[in-house]
Amino acid sequence: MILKDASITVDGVDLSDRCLAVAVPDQVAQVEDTAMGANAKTYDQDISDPKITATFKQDYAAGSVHETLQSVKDGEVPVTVVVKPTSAAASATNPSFTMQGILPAYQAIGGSRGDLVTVDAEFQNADDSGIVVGP
Amino acid sequence: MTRFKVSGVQRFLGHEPGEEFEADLPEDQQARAIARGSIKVASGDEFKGLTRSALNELAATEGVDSPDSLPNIPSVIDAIKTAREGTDEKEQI
Repeated sequence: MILKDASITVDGVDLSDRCLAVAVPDQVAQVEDTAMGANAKTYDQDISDPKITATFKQDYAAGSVHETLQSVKDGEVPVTVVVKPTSAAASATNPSFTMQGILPAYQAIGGSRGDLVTVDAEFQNADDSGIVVGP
Repeated sequence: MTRFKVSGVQRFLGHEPGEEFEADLPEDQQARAIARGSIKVASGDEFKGLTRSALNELAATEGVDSPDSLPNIPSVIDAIKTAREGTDEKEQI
């Protein structure tokens, strides 16, 4: 599929029409445990490190990108972040990825002259359930 | 259930800007959403369930003179709205 209608909702606010890129990496750190005598490296798995990353076009209008991300960052409490491949309702073919996330860092403005002002947000997991895949 | 209006420019919980909806939002989410301008309590709904005495108190804090002399609840609500409109106009000036 071609990603052209992905949906991202942050604390109830649909920021899809301000979103330039989104990803739901769910990485598991690996710990090498290759023992003496082994002919190939072996690994054990550490716990997962789920997160949701997104890049937004900055918008300072009421209830838009800036107000939403700033309030999440300042609130210091987990909020619900939902990502879907398309804006359609969640279904087996359009799964929702839901995470209770915090936003430890937020840069309200950045860039050079002539640049589109964008904001990179990395929501870190704040709940033991990690990323829940729906519907 | 509280009735809200989407006051921000982005959709909120699936509702378009300007749309009204009813929901039981978690207290902290509601506070954040109102503070950042995503939603506001729909006009009229904030008075829902308030007793006459509570409305009188609210009216007094909004600057309504002798709210207890008004004939009924709708008139107290109207007086509160009128007082607020007056405050908004003064702030704009």
